Amino acid sequence: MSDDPLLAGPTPGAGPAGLEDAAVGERRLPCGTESVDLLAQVCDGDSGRRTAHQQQCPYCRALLVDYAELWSPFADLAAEPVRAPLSIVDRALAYVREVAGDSRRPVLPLHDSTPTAGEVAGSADLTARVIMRCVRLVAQEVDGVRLALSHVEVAAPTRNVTVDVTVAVDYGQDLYALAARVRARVADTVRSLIGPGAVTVSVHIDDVFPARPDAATA
Amino acid sequence: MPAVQGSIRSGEASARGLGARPESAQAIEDGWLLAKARGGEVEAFEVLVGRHRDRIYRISLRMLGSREDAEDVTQDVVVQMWTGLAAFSGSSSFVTYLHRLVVNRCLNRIRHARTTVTLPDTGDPQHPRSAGVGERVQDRAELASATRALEALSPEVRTVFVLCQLEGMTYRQAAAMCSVSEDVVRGRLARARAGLTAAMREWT
Ligand SMILES: [Zn+2]
Repeated sequence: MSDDPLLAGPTPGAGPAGLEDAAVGERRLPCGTESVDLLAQVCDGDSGRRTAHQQQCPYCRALLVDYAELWSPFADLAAEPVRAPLSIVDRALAYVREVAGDSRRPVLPLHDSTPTAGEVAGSADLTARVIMRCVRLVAQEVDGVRLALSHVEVAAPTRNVTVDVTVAVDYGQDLYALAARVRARVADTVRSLIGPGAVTVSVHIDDVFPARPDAATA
Repeated sequence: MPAVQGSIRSGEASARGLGARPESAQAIEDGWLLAKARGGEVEAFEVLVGRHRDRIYRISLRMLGSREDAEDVTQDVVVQMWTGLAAFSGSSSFVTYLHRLVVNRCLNRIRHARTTVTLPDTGDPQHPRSAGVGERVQDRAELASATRALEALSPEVRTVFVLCQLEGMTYRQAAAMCSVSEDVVRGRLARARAGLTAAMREWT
């Protein structure tokens, strides 16, 4: 019946012996319906979509209800939203940055603290990474931008910030206007983050993607 | 064979794990980020990971049944993605590559005790990392028994169940990921479904 190599021999690491095999004990209902077909229908989420026969047949109806009840925990499991713990992912990314030699980012003091020895307790600063993240998010919000990456240079003493934004955009737009919009939005954002200081923004349109099928309807 | 047709259709219709957006748009975006990441841009890699981290963790959690194991595998996969960037040929879609990576890490973990590299600062080393699944994974009893039933499946059958039933992959996609035929995938999914319902019948 099956060309599954697993069936050729005992499966190491398998669960309680016979659980899967016993379950394959498919049976034929008195009306001639195979139970496996009803199970497949339930697992595919089609238990409510009954054929004319199923609407009439007490055997099929009873088994569909039975299977639907047994299956509901798995339907719940499939529907349960699962999010990766951010701390876990961040730790792995920090490791990657270290391996890639990208772990240190210039820091920009947020207050005009006196540039004397040591950091005053309670001072705040902003790493270039935070600026990069904000730049990326705000650039991606600009209509027509699909993806954005950024590179940020901070000249700490002068508070001069140089931002390079690389974007991939939707096909069929005025690219000059788009670049200008991105530049303006990014410059505003950076200024709001760091306060007074010179901000230079360069926008690089790196790629043009075919318009999304859903973009036309949106 | 109407039963087979029905299964394929619904398998494709339930492509929940691939998101509402067409895969091609996502694949194009992934491809762009991947190219940037291969060029050494860590930020592009971070964005790529951000797009797929929930998927990585979710599959690991369903495969392993334990949050801690799933967290370990998620970290491993992220690091392995970075070191394997050059090896990714681009002949398959990135999502396929990623699924295969995650599934293989999980299967490794199931088959051989602990083969993972522990990252620095992964928390309290005294913390026990292998308690019974039912003790901590799910609060709700129903989901707990579902998880328990999943654990009773053989790893290969569980893999197909996770990919097809939970992640909404087609038989073809799952077959490519597991390097078996679509018929084998279909057979394993049927066995998973039958096994799980039998387990639930036994326990309720
Ligand atoms: Zn009937």
